[in-house]
Amino acid sequence: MRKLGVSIQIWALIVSLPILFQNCSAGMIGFKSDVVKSLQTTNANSISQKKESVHVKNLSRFELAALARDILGESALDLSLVKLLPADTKVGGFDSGADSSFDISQIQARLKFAEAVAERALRSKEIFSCAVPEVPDATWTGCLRTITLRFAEVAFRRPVTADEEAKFFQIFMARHKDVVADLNAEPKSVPVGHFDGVNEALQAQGWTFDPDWSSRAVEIHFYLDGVAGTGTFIGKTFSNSPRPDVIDHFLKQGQVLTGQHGFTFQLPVRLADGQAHQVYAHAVGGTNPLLGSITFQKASRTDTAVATYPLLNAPMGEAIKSVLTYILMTPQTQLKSLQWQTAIEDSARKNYELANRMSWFLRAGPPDATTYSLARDGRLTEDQVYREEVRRLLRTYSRDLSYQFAGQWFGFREFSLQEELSSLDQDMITESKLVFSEILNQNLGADAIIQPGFTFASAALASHYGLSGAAATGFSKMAQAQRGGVLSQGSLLRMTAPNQNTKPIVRGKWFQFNLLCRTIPSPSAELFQEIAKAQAAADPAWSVSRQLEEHRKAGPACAGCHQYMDPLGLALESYGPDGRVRVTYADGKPVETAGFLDSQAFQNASELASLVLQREDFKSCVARKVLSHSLPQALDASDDETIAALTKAKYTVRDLFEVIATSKSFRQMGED
Amino acid sequence: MGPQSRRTFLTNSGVILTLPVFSSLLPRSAEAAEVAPSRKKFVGVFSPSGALMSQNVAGFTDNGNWTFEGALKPIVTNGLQSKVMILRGIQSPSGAVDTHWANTAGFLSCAPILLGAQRPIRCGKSFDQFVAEKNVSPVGSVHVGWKPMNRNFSGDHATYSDRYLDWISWRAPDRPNANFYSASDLGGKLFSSSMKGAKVVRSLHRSRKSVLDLVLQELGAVNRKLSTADQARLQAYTDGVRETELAITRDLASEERRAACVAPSADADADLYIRHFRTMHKMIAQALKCDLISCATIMYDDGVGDEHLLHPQATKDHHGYAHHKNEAGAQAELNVINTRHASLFTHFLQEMSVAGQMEDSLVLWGSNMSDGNLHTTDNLPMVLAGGGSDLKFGSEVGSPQRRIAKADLFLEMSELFGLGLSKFGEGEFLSTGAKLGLKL
Repeated sequence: MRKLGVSIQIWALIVSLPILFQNCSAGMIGFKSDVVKSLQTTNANSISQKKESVHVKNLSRFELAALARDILGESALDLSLVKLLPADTKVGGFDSGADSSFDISQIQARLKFAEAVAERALRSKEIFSCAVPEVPDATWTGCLRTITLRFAEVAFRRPVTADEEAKFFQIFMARHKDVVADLNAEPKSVPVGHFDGVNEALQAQGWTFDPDWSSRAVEIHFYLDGVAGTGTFIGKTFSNSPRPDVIDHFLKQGQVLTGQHGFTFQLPVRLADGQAHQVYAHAVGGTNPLLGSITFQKASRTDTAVATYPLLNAPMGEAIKSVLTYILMTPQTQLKSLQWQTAIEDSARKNYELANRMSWFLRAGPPDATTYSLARDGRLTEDQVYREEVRRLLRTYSRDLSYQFAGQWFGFREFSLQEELSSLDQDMITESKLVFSEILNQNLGADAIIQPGFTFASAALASHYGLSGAAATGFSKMAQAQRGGVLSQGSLLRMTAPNQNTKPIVRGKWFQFNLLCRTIPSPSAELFQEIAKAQAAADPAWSVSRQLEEHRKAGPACAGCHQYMDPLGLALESYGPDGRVRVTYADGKPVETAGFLDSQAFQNASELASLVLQREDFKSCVARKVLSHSLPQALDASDDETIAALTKAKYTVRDLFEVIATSKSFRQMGED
Repeated sequence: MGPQSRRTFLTNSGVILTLPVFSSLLPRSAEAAEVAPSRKKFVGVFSPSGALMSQNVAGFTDNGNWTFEGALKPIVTNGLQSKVMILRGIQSPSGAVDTHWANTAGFLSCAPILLGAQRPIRCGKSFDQFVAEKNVSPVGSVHVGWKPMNRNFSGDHATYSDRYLDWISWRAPDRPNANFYSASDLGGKLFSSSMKGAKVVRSLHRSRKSVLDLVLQELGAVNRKLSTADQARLQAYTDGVRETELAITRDLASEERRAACVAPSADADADLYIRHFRTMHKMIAQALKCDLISCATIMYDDGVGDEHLLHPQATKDHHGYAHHKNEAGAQAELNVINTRHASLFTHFLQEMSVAGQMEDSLVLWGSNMSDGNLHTTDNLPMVLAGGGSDLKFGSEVGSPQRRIAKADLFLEMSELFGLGLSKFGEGEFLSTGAKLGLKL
């Protein structure tokens, strides 16, 4: 099988009975048919609400990473943060209504995540835009208060109450006291480190840590023209910037370090006078060791921006970190809904609830500054304001939505988490992301998912696909009939061909589930005797197509499912495991792609794509996926009417999002 | 004195481990007077997707026998045959639920798994946890694996939770014990108190504990009227936070004892996969020796076995070779993988022997199925290792012709640990009372 570049694992996907397709999702609570009514009547007010529903969903790992991104003021999701957390449960194929099992490992992972974000905040000049004092201000005013409240407001996605603030302060003071006591109780150990040099910006740089307590910030004092005692004291800093090389070095020697160990100190500008100067750096602790001295002679100082970090001594840094970690671990942050919280007035709650709900749905993140201020001003519940805000989010965040929605639907979001992705793999993921976001931006219909008529490619990806005309750098939009549709996207073709083997059955099953919303049941153990028989009868010399066909003939139990999966997968055999078009296998046998979708015949993948476009179940499947993504619960039979109406109206993909987001039931979801 | 401070007090007096916090952790009443148990420690070792069962035995056709001449050879070449018995005829029901999932989660539990996209995960309390509760230790038990199952797209096994592929240990039916996938994380858990930088760890623990205590206060203060389902979600979060906080409390309380247990050096094998598990083996053996734990579980891969590193020249994953379709080439590759796992298992037994842990321990190695090609679950590949002259080590026990429920094996083993169980497992997996005959 390996030689063919294809592997047919018939036994892996067999079912016990002639198949009865189920709906995509079988669930508990239905989204009432009020979307339909809101479609039929513009003012949409005759809607009954669900009474018993689950609102208290938790933030998924991707949502937490989006929250961290916004808190830290970063521009992109950090997938290394996502990877700190276990995968979430999915409802209807999406984790937008995650019900993670909160076992110890989940909580521990979330705690590590919180610590990592707090740690990063501590190094952020954006967050610590004001100077932190060296000892706590007993009245809790100024810089620390500002920083903490801003952090908490983004994390909670609503204003922070006075009670909450009091708690932050209490934690801060208690932790500060503990750390001071710890430092005083322990015999002072002698820091180790090195003074590396003075850079062009006249900054003294190096590293140091306390061998017994590597996570605490060490204070470094600088002297001019002599060691401590003889030289002139010119200032101090703390070890507070990342030095992964130091961590690596000591790890190799068997010592695990935590925290930040680099230091940077801006020397007085007057020292750039063309004369030679000698600077001495002492670490404070134990014998206050000399980390080194550097002689430099500079006539000028370049003003290039060099990363600098907030200055926090050990007790202050540790205490703030605890407060920020606490904020991230509170149920206010971790749980998605505001419904259960008493810290907010009912009238204000509606606005913030709506801001949250629409933002998680349409931008896959917490409310941005604009949405948040509309909620704060109580204006988001105004119909026109809300509608315009829905449109703005769709315009502004189509790439985020593409990654979270299409990425989950088509699988490229999970693919992006895989270890050791090649740059070509990354390009394929970017292609998938850009194509769907363009479908939103250009307001195209569901057909564009299969046949957009364009794709996005880097020079490397275009060359891989055999396309010409891509720009040398970045991604170009290319008019292109053969690529861009989900079935010809490299990301999907790569994912469905593990170990460089295409798997037609896997691709066929993917197709049924994701494009036609048909669930093919998983195989049962009893079928394996049937499989053994089919295996025994198989001749390795048969073509891929013949092997699958013979297997279907083995009995109704096999054919029941495989008639729905195999032909679709075979059509996609014209794409190799690397996503490139092929007409023969490695052993020279021709690729056979003809088949049938239900009873309609096709010759190849392109004809199959055209057939899909004519099908109502494809269109309704698209509506089903968008509706599913909007809801915290799985769809059920009571949603069929809604889906039928959404399908009938022939909405563009973007309009599907807009119609659902502006429906009365979405806007009032969960209200008493 | 409020409940919080009472707990803290008990922690300080060392009573915390027996204080029931969840009903699921309530002690079971002993059902019968027991003779002094001969075994105190248990390690469960798991390999996915069965084994090539009829290897190297001329004319052998009966599915379900691996031998010391085949993949188990490393046990013999390393002189450990006298510490190992091969168990024959052990079976698990093969119902309509895919055995990859059912018999991975249920490997040490013998309970059915709950399916359905929205349902909470549920299996049964596993054997190792009964042993861990009876033989109280500072850390209790540790669990290690290679990496968690992570599949790209939905559609396959849609109603199954993939987490069933990741865990074999359950301290309660709805509470799985997650694996350590990194040796440094496991080292941190077990040996940080004896390592340089222990002050950092203590400080971090205290910080975490205070953060979680306050989160618990926050959760306790929620007084809004909520639906039952919402209350359950908040309660789940509360329970998880409380359990985590308790684990930290336990770590802090046992610091002095842990400080005396020094971490073994990491293994230096050039092969990452081998190095990973050998290091884990050393740590587990050392932790057992120090009485930091009384139980451990080791998963050489997740319940499907999608790892390629098992065999240097592999072009398929383990699962791919397990479905060998009776092709000789694929079977040979599977045999290489089985032998590799046998070598790892042998290494673990060597570490246990060096640490002097074989005499009062039992180590069970097995799989979620027998023939990975057909997903059969009768005559499972199972070996039991340990020491002492009371058990039939060095021989084959049972017969392929006489099927014994896996739960019966655990029930029989439970007597050696003095667990006082009258039955083991649930539903169709439930024990019947039949005996394999482990004792001489």
